[in-house]
Amino acid sequence: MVNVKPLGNTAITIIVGDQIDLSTHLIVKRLYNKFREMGRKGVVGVIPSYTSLTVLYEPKLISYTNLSEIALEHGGEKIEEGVRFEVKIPVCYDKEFALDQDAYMKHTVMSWEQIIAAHSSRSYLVYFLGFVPGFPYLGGLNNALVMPRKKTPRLKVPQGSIGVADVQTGMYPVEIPGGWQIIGRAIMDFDYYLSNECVLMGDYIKFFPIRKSEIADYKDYQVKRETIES
Amino acid sequence: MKVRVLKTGVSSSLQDLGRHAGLANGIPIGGAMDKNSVVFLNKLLGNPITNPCIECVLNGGVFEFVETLKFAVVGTGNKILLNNKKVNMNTVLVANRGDQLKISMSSINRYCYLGFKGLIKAEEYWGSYGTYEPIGKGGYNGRALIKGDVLEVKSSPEVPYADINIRELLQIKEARVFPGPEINLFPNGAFKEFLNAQYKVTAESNRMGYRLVGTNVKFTHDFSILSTGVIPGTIQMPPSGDPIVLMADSPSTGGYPRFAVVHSEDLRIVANALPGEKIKFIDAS
Repeated sequence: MVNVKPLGNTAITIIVGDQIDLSTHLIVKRLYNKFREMGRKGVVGVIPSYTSLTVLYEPKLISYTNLSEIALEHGGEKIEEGVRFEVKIPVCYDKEFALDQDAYMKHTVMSWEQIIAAHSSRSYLVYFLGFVPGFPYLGGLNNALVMPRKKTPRLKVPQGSIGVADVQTGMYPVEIPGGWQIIGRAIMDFDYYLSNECVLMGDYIKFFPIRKSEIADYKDYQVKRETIES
Repeated sequence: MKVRVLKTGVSSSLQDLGRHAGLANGIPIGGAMDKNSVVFLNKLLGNPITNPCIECVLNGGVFEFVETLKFAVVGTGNKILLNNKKVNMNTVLVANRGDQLKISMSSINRYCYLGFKGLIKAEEYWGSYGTYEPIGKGGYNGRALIKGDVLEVKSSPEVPYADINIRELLQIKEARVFPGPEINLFPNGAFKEFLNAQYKVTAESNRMGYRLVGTNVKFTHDFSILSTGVIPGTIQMPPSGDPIVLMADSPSTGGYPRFAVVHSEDLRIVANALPGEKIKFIDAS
């Protein structure tokens, strides 16, 4: 299923699925690579998301029709996942940082220890980065941890906050208004994180819990991409 | 060559045509709110169109030229004084050592642009000199200009232009819009109703987006979509039913339905609308 729609006169949205899953992701990634390769032929920018790819173009150099033909031609193909990269991120789940701890425990009917264990035991696929610089949209959350976003967004979510929204989890690399349920805070060198391509679409993120007393040890922590042995 | 900031206006920052390479990393396009004006300004000065300039919100403040330098101010309705003598906008002028330039408030446009002949020294971030304040990157130390800042201007290649046409900057307060990818989620005729409505730019408008309110019209809804790509000019419709026009610092993705999209050449019309000002959308398709 490939559905192509214009997004104004300088962008096109290619929809390749309707749910968050790996096979849809691999099609989006295939298209992403395809259009990135075309950089000099009128493609100005490419934005991946869960189920679609948005391509920004220069109408003087390439037409909507031309782009949709490419989309339809390659929209059915997915790529093999290939080498997997993982990024480990230290997270303090202390009450001080878990701004929505009470509501989250009530909603999941779990103890805080169970929640920490469940959230930090999986390696989450980075479906795409978006919203603000370096914000990873992560899928694969344990069903028991699913909780809708807050009815009223917070005016300020602190930098590093780890959040949950429905079946997604993610990290706020900058302070910004946001509506996700906040359950902890990543502790690391965020200037380094924002100045480098530390996490890419298709990588995996694994959060590991640290104690409040260990925060000082992780303030300068610089994340790195490591290959996962399969 | 150097230029000193003696007084700042509402907010002045270095901006250019923005960045596209980091979209997949969540890096917004950013750059000037009115990119057509930046292109026009650089063409006037014979600069490469990608050179940065000073984007001034409403008024520009006061600048002192430490050395002789060619400059221009592009905009509509600002009063420009060079050593207290009125000079014209939208034309190349020469300032001598010690001259002071004052850019006063415009009651017509939100943005005006001050450019110099040459390249202003600025931090590059993802291929653009534009200031992205939310994370303090690009431009002048990643922030808006403040009193006492000194800008360095280096020479840059002289580019001849044949097609400098100010008419493209003339103001009509109508912006062409296309229906967006999620328009079908709304009742039949919603786009038409949108075109017939009168919209007002609210005070809740910044470099990320402008929130509008319509007279007697609200597209209230309760559906959500999976986060998907958005571009400056995308008109999102949150459940409240009051549209948001995404602007230069727009997030790269968003989870509200994409109701409509402003024509790329007309986004500057929305960008320049003042808080409280009315704006009319017309069918682009």
